[in-house]
Amino acid sequence: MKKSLLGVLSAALIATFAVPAAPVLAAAPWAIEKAAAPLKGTKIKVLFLDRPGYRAIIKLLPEFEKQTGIKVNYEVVPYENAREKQVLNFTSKGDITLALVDLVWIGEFAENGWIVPVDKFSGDASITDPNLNLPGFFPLLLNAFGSWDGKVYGLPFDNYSGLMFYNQCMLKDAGFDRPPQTWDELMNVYAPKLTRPEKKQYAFALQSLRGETQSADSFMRFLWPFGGSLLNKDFKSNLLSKESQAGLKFRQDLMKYMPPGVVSYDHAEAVNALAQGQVAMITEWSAFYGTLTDPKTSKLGKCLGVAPEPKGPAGRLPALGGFSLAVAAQASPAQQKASWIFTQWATSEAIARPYVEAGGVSGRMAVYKDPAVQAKFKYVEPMVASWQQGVPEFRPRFPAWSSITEVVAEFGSKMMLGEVSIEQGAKEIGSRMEETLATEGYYDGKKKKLQ
Amino acid sequence: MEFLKIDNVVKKYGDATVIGGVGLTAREGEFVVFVGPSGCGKSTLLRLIAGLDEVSDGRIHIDGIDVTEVPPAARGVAMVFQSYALYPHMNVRQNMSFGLKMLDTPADEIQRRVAEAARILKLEHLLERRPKELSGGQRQRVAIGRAIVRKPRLFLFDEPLSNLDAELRGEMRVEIARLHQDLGVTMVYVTHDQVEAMTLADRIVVLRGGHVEQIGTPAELYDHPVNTFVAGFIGSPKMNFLSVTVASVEGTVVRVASPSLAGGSATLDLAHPVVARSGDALSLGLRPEHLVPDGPGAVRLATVLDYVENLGGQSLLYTRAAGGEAAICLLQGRHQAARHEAIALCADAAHAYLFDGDGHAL
Amino acid sequence: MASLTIDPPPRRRPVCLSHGRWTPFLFLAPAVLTLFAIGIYPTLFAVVTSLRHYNLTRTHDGFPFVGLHNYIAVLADHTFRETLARTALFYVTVMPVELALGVTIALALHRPGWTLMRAVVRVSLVVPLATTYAVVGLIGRLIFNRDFGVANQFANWFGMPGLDWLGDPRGAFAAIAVMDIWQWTPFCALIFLAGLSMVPNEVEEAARLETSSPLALLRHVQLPFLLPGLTAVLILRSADILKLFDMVFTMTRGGPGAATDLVSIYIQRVGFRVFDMGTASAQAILLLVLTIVLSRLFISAFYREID
Repeated sequence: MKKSLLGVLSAALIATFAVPAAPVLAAAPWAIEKAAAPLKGTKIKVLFLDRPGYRAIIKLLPEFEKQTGIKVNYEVVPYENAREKQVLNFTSKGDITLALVDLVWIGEFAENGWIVPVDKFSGDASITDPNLNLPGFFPLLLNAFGSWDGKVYGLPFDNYSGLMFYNQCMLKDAGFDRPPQTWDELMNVYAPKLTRPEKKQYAFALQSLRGETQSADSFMRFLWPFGGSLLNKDFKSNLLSKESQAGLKFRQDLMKYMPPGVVSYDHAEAVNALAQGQVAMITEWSAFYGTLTDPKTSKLGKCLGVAPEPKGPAGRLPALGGFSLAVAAQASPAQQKASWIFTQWATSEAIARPYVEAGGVSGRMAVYKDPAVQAKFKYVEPMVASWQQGVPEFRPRFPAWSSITEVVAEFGSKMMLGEVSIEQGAKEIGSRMEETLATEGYYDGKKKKLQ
Repeated sequence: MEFLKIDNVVKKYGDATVIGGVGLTAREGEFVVFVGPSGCGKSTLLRLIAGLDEVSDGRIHIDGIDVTEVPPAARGVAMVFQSYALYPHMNVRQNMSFGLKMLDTPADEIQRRVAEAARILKLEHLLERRPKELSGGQRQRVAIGRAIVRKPRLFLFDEPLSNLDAELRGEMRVEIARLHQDLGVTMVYVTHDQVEAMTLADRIVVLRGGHVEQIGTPAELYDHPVNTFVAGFIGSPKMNFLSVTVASVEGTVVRVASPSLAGGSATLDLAHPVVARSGDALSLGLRPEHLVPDGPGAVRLATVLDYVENLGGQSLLYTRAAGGEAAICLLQGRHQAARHEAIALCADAAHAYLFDGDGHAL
Repeated sequence: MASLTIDPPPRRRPVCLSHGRWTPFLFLAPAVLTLFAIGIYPTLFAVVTSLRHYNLTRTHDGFPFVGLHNYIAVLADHTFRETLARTALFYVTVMPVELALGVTIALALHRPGWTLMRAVVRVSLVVPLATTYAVVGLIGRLIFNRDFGVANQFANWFGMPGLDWLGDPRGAFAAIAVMDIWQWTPFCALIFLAGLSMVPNEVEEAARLETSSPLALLRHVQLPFLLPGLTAVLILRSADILKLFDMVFTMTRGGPGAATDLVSIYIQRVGFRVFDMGTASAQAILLLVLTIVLSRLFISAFYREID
């Protein structure tokens, strides 16, 4: 504990006085240059997304390559293709040395042995930063994004929380000087006053396009805060429970305050609807903060407000998402070491500040304690608040999720369209999901019930 | 009675004038042949009559009705194409009955007419065959049959025999002639073959460069060609032409001089006043079949024999006149003569034609 | 007599023959090998895969052979049947429109005159064809956007209220149909134009002398020449629509609900989301069989040689 505190302190020092501190760093027993010296010229490969967090690290990359002599080859792919590409790469023993792991892929990647647990390297002092300080990550993030079955595989890299973005000016015009605190307040107090269909103005937009958007952003968002969940502890469907049904019914009822056609809204449409003043509130990933503050993509300007997602009867359990970096098992020992060094660097407390300044969202707690950061980035406070508690299995992270998400997406959107009733839809998802889980071997004791 | 009347018809494609103001008429039941070298506009003129192309100017009347704006199918004409233009996916019976079906003719009537046409054209045993299973001559008969069954008021033929071999061409020519006699329908027939024109036509229209050169019966065209073009086009082998100069003119009698003429000159009585003066350069036209070696005629050509073609019953003598012009003589029987032998080719003055410097007949 | 005089050559002939016997094989080998590499081998691989339990993300289960289990599962899978039925509906929705519009455009272009216009139109017909499916989907997303899409602007001009195309199941189906029609009508038009130009001029003229009706001309004289092209279009499109993915995926992801969930979208999901390659291969093989059956049907129903 003492050691880690020291780490935090020294990291903060380094971050604050980056240039003058350099000689201090060189004098310290750990130096990234020294650690990487035997690996000079090693090439590592990782997939990146076209999102702010990746653009930020790409900006900082030359520094890393100069210091270490490790060449980082990255390929930018759309999120839709990232899992497919990696799975195919791993199964065909490809060139990826560092896995980009979405929270919902961790179980699959870990169980297939495609990624290596952190403890394989963290014991090796020659390649491990003494300031690694795993407890310095938000525990929720490290647990949810990086860990499976009690083992840490990846370090949180690109981190999101669901936040409520809202149009302060529209709320003020309707007589509200603060955002709604609960979902109930949002629907029953705020929504009626903010919805004017004749002016094409709506209180709320919920991105619900079929796909991961429907299942993660739309469907699951209304289970947890209402006390519901996808599975009970026996891994049977919990969708017919009173709480789950209440949450899904709430979503259905809320639709009358949403623009028609939210079923076809992806993130871009929802964010754009807020940015163009068509809706007053959305619940979206923290990563869209940049889009909403950029005058090129948003008309909001000073009207933009950011708050934690509203609470439900079961408390504030906002959507949780993000990516960790984990060393790929298929890489050569040298590449694994190099990848590990890169991962530590990219998620280190030392780089957290420049990373945040460049548009990334760090998973380190320390950086957000800085009042300057809090003042500059409106999203920090609500996001840190959101990460205080949460359920790592907001979406189950077991390998079967990839089939289950499709079922949820199909019937979730059918529910919204009124093609099936909420109960029917829940039943349908439940039975198909249990079918999948049965073939996975969760019910005959072959497999540990991990989510 | 003018059955077909073409009134000053013009056809232009862009800037190019293909038919430059043609006017002609045909009586009901008449067999009119358009003849001329390729590119003379004869086929275009036929297509204008059919309505397949639109006239740029002028009117076309059929049976007293102005059909200039009438679509092809409503003109009551039938056409036989050079390529036969049979519907490749239909058998012979379907090919012949298609037009009638389009006119909603009752089935038994179609059946009757097709049978009748098949009988006339000896196609009865071929009715179920596809065009690709027929010979060229059979295809052409089907094409004619397709025209007959519709009982058109006007038959149009566009070089119908030129894809056939010589023997078949002769046979079909006779069949068409007989058909015309039997049906008594007006027919317009396009050909570049003057033999077909001479044998089939009641009247021939000679076209050149989109203009009518001469219209007349075969005999008129043969006996009284209005210019060197018609004179040269009608008749086979082609008429011989010699350059001559007028030596003297006295009323209807003209004396022409040329080194090619034996004695240097010849005297011709044209039976009408001659519009030429002494010293004018003229062409003297003599048909090969009118020349006789050492014959009695008043016009005598001094020639040297080049070559003899023996046709069996006839011979063709290729000679060179003293003035340098080639002259051909067609004579009955065989001619025994050696190469370079001097021959005097003689023709009756009545069979000599004179054309002025522009080629017009005197 | 003759055989005596040519006695020597037969002794040389085996040499020539051995050369000649292999020449054709050598000429054919590159094509056959290429065909094997890009066509037959993958198909065989898919057949073998379809007989196994083959999930890429469950490598520890191994890839055991399971006989026809995958096929039975696919045939019993109601989502597969539903998506296939939806695909069939899509086919019978877009094909008649594409064929009718294609013939109309082809006839308009076949008319004499307007030489320059026709050349321009002919080139512009290639544009939709040359557009990537995914881009067509993106264009579709813009065209059918509820608020600023062109489709609703058109509707407004004609005094109709805008429709929430992509948010409404029927609207979304119509929207992908429209985009497919936009992309493929030109192809039909070009094929039919080629067919029309196969009709000998004089045959067409002979028919014009027998009937004034363009419809009768089309039906009785031009249509037989269009049939080979029609058959080709039907076969190509049945194969193409069975694998139509990018355009629909970028436009609707198969939604809303399952409104545009075509069989190709479903197979992609099984193959590259769930990574159940065994089932996906079985589905693909079944579609291949379906394509072959449909092709035979189209050929026997429509294909007629003309010479």
